[in-house]
Amino acid sequence: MVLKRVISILLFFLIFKANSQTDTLVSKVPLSLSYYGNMLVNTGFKLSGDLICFEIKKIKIKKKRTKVLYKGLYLTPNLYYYKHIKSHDGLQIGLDLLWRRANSKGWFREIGSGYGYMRIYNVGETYTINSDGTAVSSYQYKSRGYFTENFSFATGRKIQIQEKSSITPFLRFNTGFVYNYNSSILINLSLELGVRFVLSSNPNRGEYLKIEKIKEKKRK
Amino acid sequence: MKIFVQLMLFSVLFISCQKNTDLTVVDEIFWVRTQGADMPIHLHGNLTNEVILLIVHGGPGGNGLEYRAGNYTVPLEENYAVAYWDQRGQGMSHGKYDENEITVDKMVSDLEAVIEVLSIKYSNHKIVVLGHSWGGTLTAKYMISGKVHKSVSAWIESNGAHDIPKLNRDAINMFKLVANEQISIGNNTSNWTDILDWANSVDTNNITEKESIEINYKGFEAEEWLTEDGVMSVYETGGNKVSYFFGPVNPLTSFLSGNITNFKLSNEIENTSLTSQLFKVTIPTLVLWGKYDFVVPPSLGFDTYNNIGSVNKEIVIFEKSGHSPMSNEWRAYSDAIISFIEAL
Repeated sequence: MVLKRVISILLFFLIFKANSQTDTLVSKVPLSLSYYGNMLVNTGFKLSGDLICFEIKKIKIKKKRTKVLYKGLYLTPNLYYYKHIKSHDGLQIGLDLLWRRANSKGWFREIGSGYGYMRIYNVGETYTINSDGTAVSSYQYKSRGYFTENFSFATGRKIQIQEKSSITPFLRFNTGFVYNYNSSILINLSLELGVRFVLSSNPNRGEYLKIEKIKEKKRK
Repeated sequence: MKIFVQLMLFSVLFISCQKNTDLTVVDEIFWVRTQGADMPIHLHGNLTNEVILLIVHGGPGGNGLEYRAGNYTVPLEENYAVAYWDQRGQGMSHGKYDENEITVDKMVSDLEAVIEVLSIKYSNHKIVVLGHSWGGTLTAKYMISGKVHKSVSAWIESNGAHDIPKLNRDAINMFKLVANEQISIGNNTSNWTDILDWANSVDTNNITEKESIEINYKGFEAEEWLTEDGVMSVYETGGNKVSYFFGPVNPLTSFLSGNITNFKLSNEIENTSLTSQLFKVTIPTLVLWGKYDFVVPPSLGFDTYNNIGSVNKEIVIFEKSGHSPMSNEWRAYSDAIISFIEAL
């Protein structure tokens, strides 16, 4: 409940900040913050940044209108945390590769895949047993690490706040594997509801490859 | 951004620091780490009477807390502290180990570790070990191991599958017996006739793994018919609420882990037969069984009662119950446990 309130306050804060951006923001790396529901119901949050690799701008000139599509490849380092009450806390760092397709109205779809490293922290004390069968003293928040693989699908819409600033609410569904979990693997599911934003304090995006393709449909 | 991070850390710390100190309503979680596995134990109930009832769940593939969602745990938790343990590769247990480490012996070692931790954490408390179904296999193997911890005061075997080959043979015979009874009084005749035909077709000297799975499936189906006809008591809901989706056990994680573990153990379990070694059990023992348990027939309960070496032993057959008497006749079930523990 507390986590949900904090996320709500933060989203409000971000919208407020985004409203006051200047034109220089196009050169900034977009950051994302989302509610992260591990196994759909265990609440948490996720932070990520979109490092663009390249972008293709496709302009299709048709008889009555011109259609503009943007396709881009992004590398997104991410960090998420979730709390499974009375069980464990999870913390993961990861790197995903996303392929995003957006239209001129701001709607986008995105598929992605990536790898990560997750630590599961046991809530409460953990008693470790020695090889001779005796228990040693306990420790709070003992953890284990697992490598993960992730596949995602996201959709959302970019909302223009000013001429060059925007926020992008999105919904992302993740599925993947936690490797070497017990004696095999665990299938992991999660849902994200978040917002991508650009602030003046965001790091600079730097140079990246831009390809522009124009396709004109000829009249018969 | 800094404000957000601070707020987030504060909220995490706030959630983590809540603690209950009333010993009559204990609600805590701790973990046992052994042989590559981290296994959670949820302790609920009353610690003032210095008795811990350790529930060893069924399956393989179940989880400890699914046993808490029943009326019978309410009187048990009023009197004792009940420990709900998720076994290796089941429930919310996690860890890293080779698939060769999913064996009955390894899980018996885990049980030893859990009891060792309970005895250290709650020294001077009596530990009573209750194994249901597959938990009966595990606890039976522990009880005959010769390594029973001095703090373990008693064993409760409830519908325990300590001898699978015998279980399969006796289940087929029980299907025939009950089917004939039910057909003669006109209950669900069509279904019971089908069951009778099927049971007659099974060669009890050579029961295959497929037929063993069918016994399990048809056993639960038969319980439904007996409940419809009023021969068995209906399951009563209520008791301690354990949220299915938002509780400590994630159903998807538990389902996936449990099924993998079940699959890997199935070959070994099919050949497990402990009846001939039950004489090694010497601690006080209570045997609880449902009369209409086709999944693990009551004949196995009588085997335990007749073969164990314990002087202090008792058997209770619940006349209107099946594989889960704690659900069919929860009050009688919890009463039997309480009166047994009080007499220790």
